[in-house]
Amino acid sequence: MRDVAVRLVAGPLEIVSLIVILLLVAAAVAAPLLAPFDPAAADGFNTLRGPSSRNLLGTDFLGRDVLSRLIYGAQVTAAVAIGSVAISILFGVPLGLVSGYFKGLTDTVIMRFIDALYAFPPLLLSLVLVAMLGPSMYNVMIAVGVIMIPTFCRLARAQALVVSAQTYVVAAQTIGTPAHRIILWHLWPNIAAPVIVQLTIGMAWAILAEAALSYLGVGVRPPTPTWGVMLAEGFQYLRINPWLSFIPGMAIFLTVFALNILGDALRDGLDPRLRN
Amino acid sequence: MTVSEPPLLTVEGLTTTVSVQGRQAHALDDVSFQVRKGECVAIVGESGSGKSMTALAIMGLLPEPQVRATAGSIRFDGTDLLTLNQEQMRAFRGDRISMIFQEPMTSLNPVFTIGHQISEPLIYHKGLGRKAARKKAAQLLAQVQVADAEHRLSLYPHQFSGGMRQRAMIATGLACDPELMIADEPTTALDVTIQAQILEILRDLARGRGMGLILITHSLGVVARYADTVIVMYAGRVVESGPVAEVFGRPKHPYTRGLMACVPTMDGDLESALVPIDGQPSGVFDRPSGCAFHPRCPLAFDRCWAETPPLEEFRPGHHKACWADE
Repeated sequence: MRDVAVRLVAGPLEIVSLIVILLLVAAAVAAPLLAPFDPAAADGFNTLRGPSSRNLLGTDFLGRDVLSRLIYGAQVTAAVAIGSVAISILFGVPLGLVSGYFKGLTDTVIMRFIDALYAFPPLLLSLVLVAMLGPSMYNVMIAVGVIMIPTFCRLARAQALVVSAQTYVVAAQTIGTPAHRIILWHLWPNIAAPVIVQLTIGMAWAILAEAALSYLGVGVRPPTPTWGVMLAEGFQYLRINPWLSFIPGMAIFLTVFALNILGDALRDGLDPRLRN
Repeated sequence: MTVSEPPLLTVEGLTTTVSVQGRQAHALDDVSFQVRKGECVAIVGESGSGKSMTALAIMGLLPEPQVRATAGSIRFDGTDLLTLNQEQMRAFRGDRISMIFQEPMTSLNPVFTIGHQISEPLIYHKGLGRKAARKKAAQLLAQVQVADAEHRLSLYPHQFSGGMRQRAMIATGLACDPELMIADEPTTALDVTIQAQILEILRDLARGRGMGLILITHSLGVVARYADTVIVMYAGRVVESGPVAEVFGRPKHPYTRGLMACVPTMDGDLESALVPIDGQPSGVFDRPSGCAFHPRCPLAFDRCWAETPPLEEFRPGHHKACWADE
């Protein structure tokens, strides 16, 4: 674990990324304390203003404070990122492990199902799912989680195939270890590292997907502030006040970028071959 | 060891079929042998001769569906192992039959301590709790001559040397006091002094406990020194078998003789080169007709490529599968 910690602060880029993610988490957790205004409080006399000392990041078309909305939006972003990745790992990884360990018919059945899921364009599938379930934050989590299941399943299966060919797995079989114990105690700990790396990339992807769904109007509904909703609302006033779209866009970009950098750092830190 | 006692393991006519992309071939063909209690049976042969596959077949771990046992029987203490399902077979593995592997570097799981791994079979088969299993694990590790066993139980495989890992593997294999142990080239990856120690531990344990030991190896030196009985395999068939002294004293099959001619000796003439066996062993899918060894055999005549010679007892206990008779 020390190797991982060392990698996470290996360079300025990693440190900045770590700070960005910690800021995001802090904003999500302590939004009511940090936000200077109520994110839903409209002010008809102060619409579409640029940054000022009162509204650090300006106001939107209803006069709501952009900074406050950005901070509250972090809650939805963090919740969707964590929730959807949790769903996809919870279903994808066990399916992949079972598939890769038992092979044969089990593998064929599971993988055809996963392939079918994979065959849909991801955003289209999540659009359909949210349309069916109805727009809400939890349904966005489910929709985005479901479309990421194939990624985690395939990763876990590929790794399980490699690890189950290792002598220690065959050796475990020769002492009569039950299959569920082999999967849980021999396969899973040895494939956890790539899954953790994929987790950071999956979170970045989920943030983008949530923003896209909200932007298209099927995700989290206004007035709940989310970065995607802010981006979509600001788009109509791009010529009057480009800040409105630029700020949430920048927030999404920085978060996704930071998650990708951390994912790379984790991959290096968790790879025993790169340790010295 | 009394002669009247029924053998512990009787492999009879064992045949395995490999199917790859619609093509089928026999990887093992009519393999038969016996192992008695306390006896060390060595299986020798070059890579691809079917030594390891024989071991996997006994363990019920053939890579199905690509490889299946299609004929014959493996009788262990009255039960035909080939008729058992995976769940029934699992009760035998680790408890009554255990196996150790060639690569001590990769046969232990890197994420668990040595103690944890030696304890596992005790927990599955003997129903011991973690604590009791760990106590037994310490005794086992001491039995395979690892010093300071108690302390070393908490170490991870990467903190062990190759020889110590192989000892830990043997300790795991011995945990439930099995009646049969299969050692698949247990010393190939180790240096010579460690090799001798490991093999002595294995042989002494086998004799002391009356445990049958199948030693798979390609080293004739190992066979001569540690085994009671030797089985020589070529291209998936047994070509010669018998007591070690008998087979090495009067090797009958040209392949056995070839193997012996390419072993360097300490007192040999430095000028006389080792004699390799000409040619290459065949693959599973391109086995020659008749006796599979005939393309490489100095004694081959027309019958050899027409008919497969059966394994025949020509002296008490000494079998050969060869048409040539001088």
